Amino acid sequence: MPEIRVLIVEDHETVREGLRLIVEAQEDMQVCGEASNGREAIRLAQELVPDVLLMDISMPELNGLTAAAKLKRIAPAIKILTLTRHTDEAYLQELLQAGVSGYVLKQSAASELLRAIRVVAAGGNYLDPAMTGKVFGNYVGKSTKPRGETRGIQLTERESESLRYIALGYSNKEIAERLDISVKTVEAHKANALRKLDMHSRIDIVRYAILQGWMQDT
Amino acid sequence: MKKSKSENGSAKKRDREDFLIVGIGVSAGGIQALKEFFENVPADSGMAYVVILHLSPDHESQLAAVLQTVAKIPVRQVTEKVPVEPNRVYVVSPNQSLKMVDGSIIVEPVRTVEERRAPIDIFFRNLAESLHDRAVAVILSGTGADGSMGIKRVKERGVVFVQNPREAEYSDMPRNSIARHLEEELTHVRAQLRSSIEQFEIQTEELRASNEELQSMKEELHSLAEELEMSREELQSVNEELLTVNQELKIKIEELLISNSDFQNLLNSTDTGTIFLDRSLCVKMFTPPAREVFNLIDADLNRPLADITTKLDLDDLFADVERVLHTLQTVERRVETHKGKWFLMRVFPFRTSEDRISGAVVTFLEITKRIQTEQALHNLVLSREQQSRIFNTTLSSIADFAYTFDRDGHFIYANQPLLDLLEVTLEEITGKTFRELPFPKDLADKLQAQIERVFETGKIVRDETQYTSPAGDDGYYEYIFSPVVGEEGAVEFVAGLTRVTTERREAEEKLRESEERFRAMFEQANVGIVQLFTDGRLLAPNPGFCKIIGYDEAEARHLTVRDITHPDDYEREAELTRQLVAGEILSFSIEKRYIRKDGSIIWGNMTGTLVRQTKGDEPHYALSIVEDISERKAAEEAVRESKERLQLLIESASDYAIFTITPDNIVDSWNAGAEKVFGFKEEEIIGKSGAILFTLEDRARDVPEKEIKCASETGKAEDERWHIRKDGSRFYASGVMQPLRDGGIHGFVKICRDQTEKIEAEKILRNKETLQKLIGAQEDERKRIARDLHDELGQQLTALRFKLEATRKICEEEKICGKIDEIQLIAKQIDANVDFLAWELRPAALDDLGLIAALENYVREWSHHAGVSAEFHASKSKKTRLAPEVETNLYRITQEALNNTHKHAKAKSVSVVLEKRDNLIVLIIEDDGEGFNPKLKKNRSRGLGLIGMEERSALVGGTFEIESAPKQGTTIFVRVPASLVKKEKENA
Repeated sequence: MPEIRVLIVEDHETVREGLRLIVEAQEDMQVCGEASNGREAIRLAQELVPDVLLMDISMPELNGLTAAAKLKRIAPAIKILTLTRHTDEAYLQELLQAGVSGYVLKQSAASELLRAIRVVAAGGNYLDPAMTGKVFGNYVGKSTKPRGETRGIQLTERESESLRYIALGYSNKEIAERLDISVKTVEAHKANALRKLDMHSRIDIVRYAILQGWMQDT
Repeated sequence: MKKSKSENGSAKKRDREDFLIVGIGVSAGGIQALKEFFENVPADSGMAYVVILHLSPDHESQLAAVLQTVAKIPVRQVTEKVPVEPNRVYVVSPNQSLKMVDGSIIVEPVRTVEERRAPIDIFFRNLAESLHDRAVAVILSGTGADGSMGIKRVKERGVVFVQNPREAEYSDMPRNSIARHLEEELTHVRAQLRSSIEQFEIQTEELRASNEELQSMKEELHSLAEELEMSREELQSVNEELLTVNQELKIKIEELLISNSDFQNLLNSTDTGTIFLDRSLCVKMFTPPAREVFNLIDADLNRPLADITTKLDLDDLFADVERVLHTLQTVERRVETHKGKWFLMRVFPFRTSEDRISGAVVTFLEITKRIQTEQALHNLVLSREQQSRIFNTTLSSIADFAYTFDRDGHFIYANQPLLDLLEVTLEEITGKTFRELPFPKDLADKLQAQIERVFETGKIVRDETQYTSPAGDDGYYEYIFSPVVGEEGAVEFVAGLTRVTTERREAEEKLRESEERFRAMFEQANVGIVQLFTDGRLLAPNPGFCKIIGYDEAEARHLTVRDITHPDDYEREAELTRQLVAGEILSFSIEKRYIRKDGSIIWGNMTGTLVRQTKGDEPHYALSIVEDISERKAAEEAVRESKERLQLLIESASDYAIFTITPDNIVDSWNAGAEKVFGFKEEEIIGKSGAILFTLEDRARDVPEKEIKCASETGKAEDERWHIRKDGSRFYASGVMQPLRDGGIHGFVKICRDQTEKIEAEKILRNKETLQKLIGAQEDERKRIARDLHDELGQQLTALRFKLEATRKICEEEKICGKIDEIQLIAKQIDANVDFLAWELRPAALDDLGLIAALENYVREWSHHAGVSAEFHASKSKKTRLAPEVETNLYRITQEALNNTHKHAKAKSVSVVLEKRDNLIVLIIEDDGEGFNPKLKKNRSRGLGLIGMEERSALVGGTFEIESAPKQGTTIFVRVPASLVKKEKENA
């Protein structure tokens, strides 16, 4: 079985050293090269054509995010495994869009990293279990009932007008001024409308407004 | 020759009737005999001699002359009737027969063959019959029998002489003398003779036979001679024929010469270049115009054409000639010389009259002009077509309708706009009249009649009509029918052009209405309206304006703005007018004073505008609308005065210090406000110097004196400076000092206000700037620390863990392995904490990915940590980036708001919304928790939270609003100007 050739891209020298120790200790892996920034990574990747490009995100010169996107455009066949300290899901989304094959947290145990290298080298995708929890957590407990459905419920003109302004980001006071009614009345309209539509938050109102086509002119 | 002469003595009379006439017949060889005869004839023989020749006329013609040379008597050629006289010789011409009638010789042309063959016989016979005994016939040399018959007759009546045959050139010899010689010999040789007699007789017999033979031969000869004679006659007639032919030949040759010269003239005068070539292509002939093509001279005849220089491509020509000689087909083509001349070259075979091809004829007809004409014609046709296209396109690209009618009033052309209007095609409209098209009958009749009128009169028709198109568009149309006059002066076509005038009519209508309105307004308005030249001369004042200034209209027209404007107001108006004319302002309004005719002043509110002429050459003019505001002015003045008084009262009672000083700065009045501001009671200050209210420094710099001086000179002295209270404390005050006039200056009034609060406010403002810097610095610091934690400490921890991992792998001692596991666990814990701390301090995503991504993540994390349902919504995409300070502050405000919610609200759900509305970015954080009354001061003590959020909002030019009530939840609105938003391309 041929060895998995890994190119390590990491700006922190000590970390790079540690990574090499771990990878080299594996019988089925070898480190074919090291780079300390994104620019160097792009150059070396084209030159060495590694099986797996193990890359940090936060780096000087050219960060891992941009480097991954660029490299995927130049050489789409190279598999990129990102190794990062960022637990922000936002990074994960960006990286997946850029086309990386795996996402491993530095905080996780080294065994995770090695498993990730093997999975990615074999053509699979790998997501750190710590992140999996986050991604799934987003969808757990969210209401699945269709929001904003009127279900034959009739709002009064004032109620829907009030909702529209709320959705557009107006405060009760502003709405009261615009509709020439008191703040209390606005609050009453809002409460009635929310009750009728079985909605509970401003986000519900915004989604309802989008469905009603109220947001188009903003 | 022996002279034979017969002399008759008795007849020797000189009588005319009594002399002898000797007829002498001569034939071939007889000339000599004649000559000898006449040599011997004496001059006075007393006889007449007539010579008859049986000879050809050629011999005879000379005979008389020949005989004359030898004869002693005159010799005469007889050609007519001649009386015969003695001692004369008469020679008769051949071809003539001779008769003797009464002593004269008569010659007659030969008529019969008898006469021609035996003229001597005939003459001798005639001589004997007419002269009887006086006739003498002499026969001289001759071969024929001619004369013998005649001599017989002469013998009967007269004398006959015959020439001695021996002497004669041609003789039948006399035998008498020959016989005598033979008798003597016979005596000697009697014996021989007898034997030879018989032989002789035989010989004689043979001779006789020979003679007979000869005789027959002679006869044959005779017949031959006759035949010859006949041949001669034939030859004669042939000769005559030849003469005739010769004559004809001459005529032919003359004709030929004429036609030859005709031909030569024709060749020389033709303008067609022609070259005749023989089969070896040598020049046989050419016409002068051929020199246009070949450099031929006369000496070039019979030279090969190839040797002649030419202006043509010769190879082609020779090829053509060869082909013509081969195929006998005429070749014709156009050739061009080097000089740009064009010729029509034609090569055809030269046929002789025997239809033999003896060469070729090459003709060159110059067609340069024809070619040019053809080219010009071609170009003309092209340009005509082009013009037609351009014409058609042009007509179709104008908005107006263009069309044409033929004599019968049928359409023959209509441009595209008209076709579009009528909704027909050109094919459909062609050949139709208005009556056959979608037009109302009366309109179609009218139009058709107008077209006919144009054809009849040749005059243009202009008219206008209302028309509703098939599409239902109602409109007014102005049209013009123009005659198209042909070369004979008759109208051939009618061209029409129609223009839609609906808009123009409406515009005219509107213009008229607005003019009327303006006129009505101008005339009847209560306000004064005046048109002005830009140099200020009045152009047209309306009655209202005349009323204001008190001049009548005629007088007003001679005035300028300066004449009727108060001097103090003039410059301002003049400057504004200048700006107006320069286009710097569109209009202006001023309140100004007019000087009326009677010299009184009237206040007016004047609005000036500039009326720009659309036509370039007309000058612009200004329009002023003046409202009489003297009443308002008066009222305002009254209001202002009373207000001032009132204000004075109010102020004197509260914040304003008002006091008066004498010209030498001694306080002489002091109000309540002054007491409050300065701390001095009225009685304490009256009579004292006003200078004690100033700081020592100001007094040292003579500020009080300067203030008084400034007020007395300029009418006003304003200042803001530190003053001193009675207790010695300083305060900042603004003040104004004005002189009190009553003829001269008798004092000053000063009004002061304590400005300490204002100063404080300004101080706060300055603090805010500092705060902004502080917050900025704080953020920077946080960012730095977060990065340090994340990138340095975190990385080192990671490195440590990797090394531990590696160490763990090679560790063999179980105890140490356990320790390493523990350390690894701790390291992992620290790592996670560091990470969270860094994120809390400042999430890297905020800088890397922007506010929206960072907020989304933060709200999710917060929800996770706080155990409260929280959702985020942004109306813009994640790529939308705001200015960095805006992003930071909005992020921090959200953090702060959610911290508060977590600490106090007991909320079940939270919404965070980021929206763009109009030119605002609106951040809304709403919870459904406890809520509170934001107006209560105690709630402000909820830490610096709310204040901090408000400050942060203000820092980025935004507003902060909180809506909350107990049990009603809390909503926070932050609105930031969207101008701070910036859009970035890709992830930075």
